[in-house]
Amino acid sequence: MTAPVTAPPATGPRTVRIPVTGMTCAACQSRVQRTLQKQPGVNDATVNLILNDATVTFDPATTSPEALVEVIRDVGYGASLAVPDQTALQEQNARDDSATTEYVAVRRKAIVSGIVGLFAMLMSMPLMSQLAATMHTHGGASTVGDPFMRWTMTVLDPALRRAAPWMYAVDPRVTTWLLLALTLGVMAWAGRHFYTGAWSAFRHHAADMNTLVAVGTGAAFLYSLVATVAPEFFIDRGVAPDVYYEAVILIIALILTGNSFEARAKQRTSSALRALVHLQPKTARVLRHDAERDLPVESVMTDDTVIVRPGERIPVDGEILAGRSAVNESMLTGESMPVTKGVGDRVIGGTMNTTGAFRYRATTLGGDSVLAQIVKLMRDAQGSRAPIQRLADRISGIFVPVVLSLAVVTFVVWFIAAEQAPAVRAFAVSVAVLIIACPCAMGLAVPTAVMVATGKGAELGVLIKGGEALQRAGDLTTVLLDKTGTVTEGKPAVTDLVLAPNGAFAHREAELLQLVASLESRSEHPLADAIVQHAKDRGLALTEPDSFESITGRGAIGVVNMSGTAFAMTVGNAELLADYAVRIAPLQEQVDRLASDGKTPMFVAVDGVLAGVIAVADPIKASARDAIAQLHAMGLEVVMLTGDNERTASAVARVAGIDRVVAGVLPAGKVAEITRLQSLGHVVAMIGDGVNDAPALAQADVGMAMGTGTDVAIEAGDIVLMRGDLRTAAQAIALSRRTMRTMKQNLFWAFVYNVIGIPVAAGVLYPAFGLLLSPILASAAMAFSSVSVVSNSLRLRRFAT
Amino acid sequence: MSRTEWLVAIAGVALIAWINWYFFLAGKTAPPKDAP
Repeated sequence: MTAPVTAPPATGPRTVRIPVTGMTCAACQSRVQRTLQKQPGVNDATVNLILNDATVTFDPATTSPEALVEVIRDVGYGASLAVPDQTALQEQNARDDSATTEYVAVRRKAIVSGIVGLFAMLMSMPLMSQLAATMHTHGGASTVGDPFMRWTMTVLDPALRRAAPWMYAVDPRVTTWLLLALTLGVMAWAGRHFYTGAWSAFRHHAADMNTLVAVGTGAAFLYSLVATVAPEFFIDRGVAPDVYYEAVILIIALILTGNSFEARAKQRTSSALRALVHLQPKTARVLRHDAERDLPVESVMTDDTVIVRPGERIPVDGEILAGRSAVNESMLTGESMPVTKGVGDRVIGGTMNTTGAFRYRATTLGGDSVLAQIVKLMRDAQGSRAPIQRLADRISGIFVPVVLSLAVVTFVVWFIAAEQAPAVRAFAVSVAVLIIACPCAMGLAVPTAVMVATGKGAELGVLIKGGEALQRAGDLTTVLLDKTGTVTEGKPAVTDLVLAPNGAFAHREAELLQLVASLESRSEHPLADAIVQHAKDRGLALTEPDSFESITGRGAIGVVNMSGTAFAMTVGNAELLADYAVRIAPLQEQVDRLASDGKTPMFVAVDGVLAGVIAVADPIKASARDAIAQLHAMGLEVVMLTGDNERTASAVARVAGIDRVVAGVLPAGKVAEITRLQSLGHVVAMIGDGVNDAPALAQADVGMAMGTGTDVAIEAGDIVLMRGDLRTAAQAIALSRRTMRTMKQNLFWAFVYNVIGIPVAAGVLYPAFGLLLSPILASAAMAFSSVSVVSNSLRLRRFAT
Repeated sequence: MSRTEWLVAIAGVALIAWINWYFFLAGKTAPPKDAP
């Protein structure tokens, strides 16, 4: 089981993951992170905005998880320790539930305040037209520069006057006080967290999105309050006693609407993770005391016998004891074809049994299961930060105080420059500046793309372990491949059987194979295994040889008795046959050809006469050629690194279409080659099997570990290719490139939005075009910006190669 | 510029100075609230 506090060395630092609620933007995240980092005893703290948690490494002698939770609460966010002994699956479920509750609450507040806001706007119409008339009399200003105000005065006001003339008959003071009451209600209920969040940030010398919303709406509210209580104060100074109650309500409503869309979209970014979590069935059919019982999966114990029927999902990991079936593992490996499983094969919890039935022994459970490990890895990956985000983080950190300063500059400039009603103008414009500035879009630009891309990767059978791996994979120039197990199947197989012309076995291929395989059945050499396997695959019966002798480095000799006849067998290389004075000249040409193709030919002599040649090779994977062509099409150089000899390696490279080969290298040599390429400025990916290639995988900019069937090397590499298909490496690189493009687009639009939005709200277009933005339009634009960034990231879900 | 405008300008400059001092400088120099 996964405990929330990872097992520590007795006295060393410990790591705790604390779920945090109430963070809305990058500024919130950086505030919680900075606060935690400042705590005595904290070695490191990382806060994740999307997953809503903090991972803290601390010295248990100085502080405790409970104290850290208190610190987070003190800066204005919700925090609680994860429940002990929860699996990654249960934890994810709990997170989903809490995210849904938060989304539903925000949506409800957005809808209610939106309705109240519209009602308030209609109620304000009579006030606005009366004020316009009053100010006209007093020589005050009109607000026609603002398109929203222009629309309300020219379209909405006449329409309302016709539809509900009674509204214009109500005493304006009654209307104003009623609006005041409504606004207070909305601010206290729907917008409360903006003010409490802003206040707790302020106390800690920090500012975030809440600060902008709170200062903007707070200033509008206070202004309106004075205008309601003492309107003469304004009128006597030639300033309209405008009230902005409807603006306050609509700003809160629009920002909440944006937040709810954002929450919804953020939920969708982790849909792949959720789909994985829901793969595990809730119950398992277990054999206990000779009776079948349906038990909750949590109750299944190691070594329990589990029964799976056709069409059922496999509940936990295990090893088949009896029965045979094809299992669809596509949800974990991306492999669309069901995989045949028999006695002794491993099955993974969460995969789908197809037609057969079987019994199996439960092996790994709970947090150790493959599914739980994948969920944990994906969750960690989705919460990780891509280096490109540092720019966004730096800007978010200083963004809000800079915007506050800009709002003050805007106020002063408008106060001095406006010809009519400078105070009103200056006030409305600076509130619009506060409201339109949006640090959220910047905060969401990178993490949402990382979330969606890692989820999409998992669907394709590619586990990407974080934003950094994604970013580096997007920048690759060179791909290095290990040969055995990556380009080739990793298991020698018989590729050719050439019979000697005019020999005794010239037309008796099966018999010759039977004889050779019978002899080799006593050998432990991998080449012998390949021959035996080949004979078995062809359904040939093998007999025990009468005698057998293995001659190291040359081959094997012995006697095989078949159908009452004894055959003296000699199987091996040219030297062995020369020792027995066997003429190999008739097949020399074929042998040379086979060797030049990278195969290992073995001569076969029966009773001292050459009978044929058997060639064994590690066959190239069917998908390797395609994959390498795809990598080339992406402009990548493909190099093969292998410990094999030059001749075999070159032959494989030629057939697979690989650009360059470095043969005869040991693991240290592979690392040296990667370092050399890196020093030349290449960004290098190493694709290997994750066990033998661990040093090379670690040295490469991106290590891609090739999983083999169910035996997924989850710990190895930055990217895990769940099935042994090299094409998924090409997909992973393509996905990374696409993700980088999305991140850059998001950052670009988030910056451009603010770079354009803030000056427009400040009124730079007013002198030339007479254009101003009301705070209401500004809040709509602000809500739109973060939703557009998240939506752009969601487009990655449609990624296909 | 009128006297009021001068006053608003000076108040604005002071406010900006205070905002930057409070969020960028005071935050760095202040000890953590919960430090022992």
